[in-house]
Amino acid sequence: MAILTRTLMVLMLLTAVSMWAGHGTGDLGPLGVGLVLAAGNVKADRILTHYLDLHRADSGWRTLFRTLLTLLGVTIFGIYVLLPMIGPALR
Amino acid sequence: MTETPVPTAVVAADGEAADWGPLSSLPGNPMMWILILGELAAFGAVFIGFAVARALDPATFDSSQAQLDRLLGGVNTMVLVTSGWLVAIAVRRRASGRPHCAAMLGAMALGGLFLAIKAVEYGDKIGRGLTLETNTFFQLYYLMTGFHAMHVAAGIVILGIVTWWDSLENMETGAAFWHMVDLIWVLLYPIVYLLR
Repeated sequence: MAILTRTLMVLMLLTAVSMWAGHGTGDLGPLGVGLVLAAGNVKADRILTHYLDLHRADSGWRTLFRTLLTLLGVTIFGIYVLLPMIGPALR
Repeated sequence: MTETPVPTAVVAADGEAADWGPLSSLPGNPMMWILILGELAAFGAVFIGFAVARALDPATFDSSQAQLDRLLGGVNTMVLVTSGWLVAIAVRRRASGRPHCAAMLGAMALGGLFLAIKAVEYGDKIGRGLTLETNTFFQLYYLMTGFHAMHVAAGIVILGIVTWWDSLENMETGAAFWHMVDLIWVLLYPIVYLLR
């Protein structure tokens, strides 16, 4: 059960990091957006791996879920950070 | 302390282990994993839709998001992950034949606290005239967080059921639903409350 408690500590820490990175007003910038999304992604991965026990499943399942989470994170990052950069150039 | 291994095989009505093909290696009931994949895909599509809607009207989304209470959203994240931890502990304790009801009741109580905090948030927004009809941001805010809150309410009921009928498979299946609710929230919170 020590691993579950360590996982909880990691989840708490990453939530605090997200809250710190996302506080205040104004644009977060690419680094802030990346940090907040990465923290959320790692939290989701920890929940899948240790709370949902995905570490006991075949490696293919772990790869599938990690790929889905990464694709989602990269897509959101692209929409928030890259789209405003390339949007004016496309018009 | 080392982690206690938990049996995974799903037993069919005739007493034979059910063959779920590639799903068989997943812990708990494979049907729950199909639900988890479906929910991840559905919420993932909504998250991308939210990001696209924000890209089309960033000024409205940023000023509306500033009306949200980021601290309460963060506190709710901590409440939910702690609840998930208690459920995971309860399943391990059940697997090793130790008492687990207190952990399950604690998890349900924290689920109730999550909903209470959400109700405070909704009350504050509605009191300030920020409703579904205010703009696209608040439409999506109520839709996404409301749909998630419905899952939390359903999850509390499911946790209650598996606490009463506490076979290991029931416990694992109920826990998987609860962790899915947890998983969706840790992705939803940064997108709706923090990113701008």
